[in-house]
Amino acid sequence: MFYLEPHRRHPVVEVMTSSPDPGPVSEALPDEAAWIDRAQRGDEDAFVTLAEHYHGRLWATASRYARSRPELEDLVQDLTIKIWRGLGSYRSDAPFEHWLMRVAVRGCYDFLRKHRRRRETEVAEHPDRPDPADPTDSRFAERRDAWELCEQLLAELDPKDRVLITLLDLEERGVRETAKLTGWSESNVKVRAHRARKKMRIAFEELNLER
Amino acid sequence: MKTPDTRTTGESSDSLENTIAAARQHAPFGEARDLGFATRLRSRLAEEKRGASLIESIGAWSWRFSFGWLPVLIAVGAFLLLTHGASLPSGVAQLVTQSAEYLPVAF
Repeated sequence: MFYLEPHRRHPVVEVMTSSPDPGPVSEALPDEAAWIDRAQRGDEDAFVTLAEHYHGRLWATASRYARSRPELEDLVQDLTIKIWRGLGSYRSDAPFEHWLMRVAVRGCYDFLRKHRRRRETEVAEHPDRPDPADPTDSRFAERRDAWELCEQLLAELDPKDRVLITLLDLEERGVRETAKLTGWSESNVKVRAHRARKKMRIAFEELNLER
Repeated sequence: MKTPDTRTTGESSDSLENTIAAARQHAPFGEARDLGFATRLRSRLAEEKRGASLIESIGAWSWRFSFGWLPVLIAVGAFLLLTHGASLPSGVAQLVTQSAEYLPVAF
């Protein structure tokens, strides 16, 4: 949910109503615990099976941060390798997907920090963005335009704020869940998100005035 | 790109909210279609393994070297003790005085 006006939805209400669980859990891989156990013991085939199962989730998360398809493919690969490296730290008391998403979100944040300077100087061009099956699909074009405008606004933010707005407003995750995924405190998430939205609103108004 | 021309903050907030709501439904690169994903991943994992085994072997060899070098280090220490034993300071005060001689400033 995107709450620009505090009177519409108070942040405390938002925290109370947000799910304590870190996000929707996709259909689990049959006998997942065994695959994880094998992967933790260094079985590459087992890890590839796990990675293929969660590839769609990683792709969807990373696609909000990459600027081109090759960059997205590389980012997904890097995230998968981070997961492989950190597999030893996974404890089976929490769903694997939650742990995996935490690693992925932190990996995306690292990616934004690493590529920030380059991103600032790049012109936003999206030659490899998918075209609608039907070129007259106005709804698709509207959504794509909205995303491109949104991306321009997100580019104004620093990496931390960008991750927060992506999780809170584009992926509609709660404050508690966002705090869990990023490893930042809930109060930090709320304060930063408030400031980031303010920055976005100013940038949005400036863009509108320029038009 | 079409965005409504909104000049007041309230309207602009609504419009930004609508923009984000529309952007939320857009998958920037469509569905996950990375045909070479597993192949690339396997090759990256092989690289990781090579890297890990290199670090492990350096670690193992450094220990072997350290044990190999131990008699040499003991011999060097013994040689230095024998050749410079007479000039070694006998107490803390003498050690400080002797070390002060190496300083570039005179006291």
